[in-house]
Amino acid sequence: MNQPRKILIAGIGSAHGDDQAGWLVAEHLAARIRDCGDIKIRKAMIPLDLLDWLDGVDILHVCDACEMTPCPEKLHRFTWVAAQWMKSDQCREADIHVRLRSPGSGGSHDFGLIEVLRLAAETRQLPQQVIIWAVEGLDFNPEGTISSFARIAAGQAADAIFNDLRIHDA
Amino acid sequence: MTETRTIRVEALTRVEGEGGLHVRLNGTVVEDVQLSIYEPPRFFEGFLRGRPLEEVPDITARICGICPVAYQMSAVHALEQALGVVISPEIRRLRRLLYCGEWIESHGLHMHLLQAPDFFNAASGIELAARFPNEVTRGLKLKKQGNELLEVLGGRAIHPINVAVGGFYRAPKKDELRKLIPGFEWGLQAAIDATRWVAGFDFPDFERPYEMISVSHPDEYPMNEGRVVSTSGLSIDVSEYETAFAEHHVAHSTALHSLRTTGQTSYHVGPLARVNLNREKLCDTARRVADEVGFKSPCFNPFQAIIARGLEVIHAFDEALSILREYQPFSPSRIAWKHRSGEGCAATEAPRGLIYHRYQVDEAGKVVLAKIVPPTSQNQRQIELDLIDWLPRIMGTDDQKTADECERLIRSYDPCISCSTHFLKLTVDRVTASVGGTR
Repeated sequence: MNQPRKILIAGIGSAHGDDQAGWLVAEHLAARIRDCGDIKIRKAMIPLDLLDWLDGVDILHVCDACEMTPCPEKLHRFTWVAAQWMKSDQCREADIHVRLRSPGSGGSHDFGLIEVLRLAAETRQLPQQVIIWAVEGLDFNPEGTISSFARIAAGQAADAIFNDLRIHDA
Repeated sequence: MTETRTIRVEALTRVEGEGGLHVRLNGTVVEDVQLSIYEPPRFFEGFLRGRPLEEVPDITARICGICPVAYQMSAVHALEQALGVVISPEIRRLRRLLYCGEWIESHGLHMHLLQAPDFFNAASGIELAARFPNEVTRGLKLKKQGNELLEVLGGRAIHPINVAVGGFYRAPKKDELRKLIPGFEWGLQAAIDATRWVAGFDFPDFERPYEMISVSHPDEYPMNEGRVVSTSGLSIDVSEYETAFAEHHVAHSTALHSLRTTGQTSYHVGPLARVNLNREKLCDTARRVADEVGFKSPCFNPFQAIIARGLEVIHAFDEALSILREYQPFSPSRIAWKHRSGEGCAATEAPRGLIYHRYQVDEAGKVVLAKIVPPTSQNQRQIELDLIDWLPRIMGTDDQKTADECERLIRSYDPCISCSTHFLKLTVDRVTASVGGTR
């Protein structure tokens, strides 16, 4: 019998406007998924937090806000396959990469999400499956409220992750 | 014709915050070095005024995501002095435990991801991890232990929310702390191994005539209180800090430069200063490892601060384990106090060095004045003077290599520009009478 796979859902965010989207996704899912040993839902303040939570994780879903892109879709899904980011919508990976809110300039305060995942890969901590959900935001003002635009996109992300989990479960 | 050139580092990497470096060379003579901190000032001291003093620990924690505990602790100690609050020994031990967590996570990060890559010409911690996966993984796990402690005791790893004037909003349960013990037992040995690893790096032969400053306590390794002492014989009460040190504006930086009032000289704060001035207060294990790896005291080589950090991580795990094993829940977790007008100051040791806070509060409990001197403000001028000495040794025709070597020295300080305001870009001017070069 197959061992149940351990899943971590991490919402990265801050209290600044639409950057709350990652946290909101985590809150939506926490309300819908009963706490169980195989699925953990956590809210991160910086991408580097993820490295503390990866022990034994098979599937990682990361939700983070990103800046507006020229694409029609406002929710973007990427998967890490054989050390490559695979896109699943019309938006170019590079476009999302530069627009993620934590792009990472190398300082310890701002290790970006991509850098953290690459570090996890180099240290053999990266789960077998990694899915990034990038939620587009409009306004990232300090201490600002989340826009209805990002709130809706965060809800869509939560629905999409929930569906993914059901597929895994099946 | 004398050739003058300017080297610019537009943005320093692997330091906290954003800033730049501007070097002006006249032939082989270094004419000027400016550590330019160009981030806008953050005005924490200004917007603390008028706020209820109860909010100060949570507001000052926001100055830094890596060393919030030092800001919180300096603030609560100063405010408790202003209010005449005397905390219990149990609260004091928990505060030292919180410090241990911060030192472990901050030093663990800097040693492995920020400074260690410099000794292997690796551009980043990721590149280093490809070559030393076990060592970097160990470093990340060390950091994780610190973060877990901060989560349990502080409420969360970044910007803890459990620190209050008078103590803690909530004392942890015994089980919550006991669960950390196995990880910390692993951490102590891992810290020893990490320190042995970094002590084997190839260090540049570079020593500087520093006046090193740290807090010093007769009974313990300095974290949260003590006198302010130096390698030049200074020994003053914290209340005299502002007579011995003063901050100055410089045109090229939004962060103030702190200098000794006597002679307007620079000084050096940080783990190297702490170990040099308090080596005998390190735990037995840390002292034994220091002897084993041949770490001499005093050490005036800034690159070897990475070894001092390792020794402090060993000490932090050792002291934390002692507190974790002996912990018994206690009450009250917070000493009661009443508003009154007063003034208080405190100096504690952030991972990057001595930090000083002073507050005046009124009878309604509002902050009237706040003064905060972070470690990086104190090290800024010293870093510039180090570079003036360092540049002739590493300068070549390749400006990029020169810039890289400058960054390497700066990183050894683990500067936190976010604290001092923010940090780093390098520019080097190499100009002939008719040629101006800027990268």
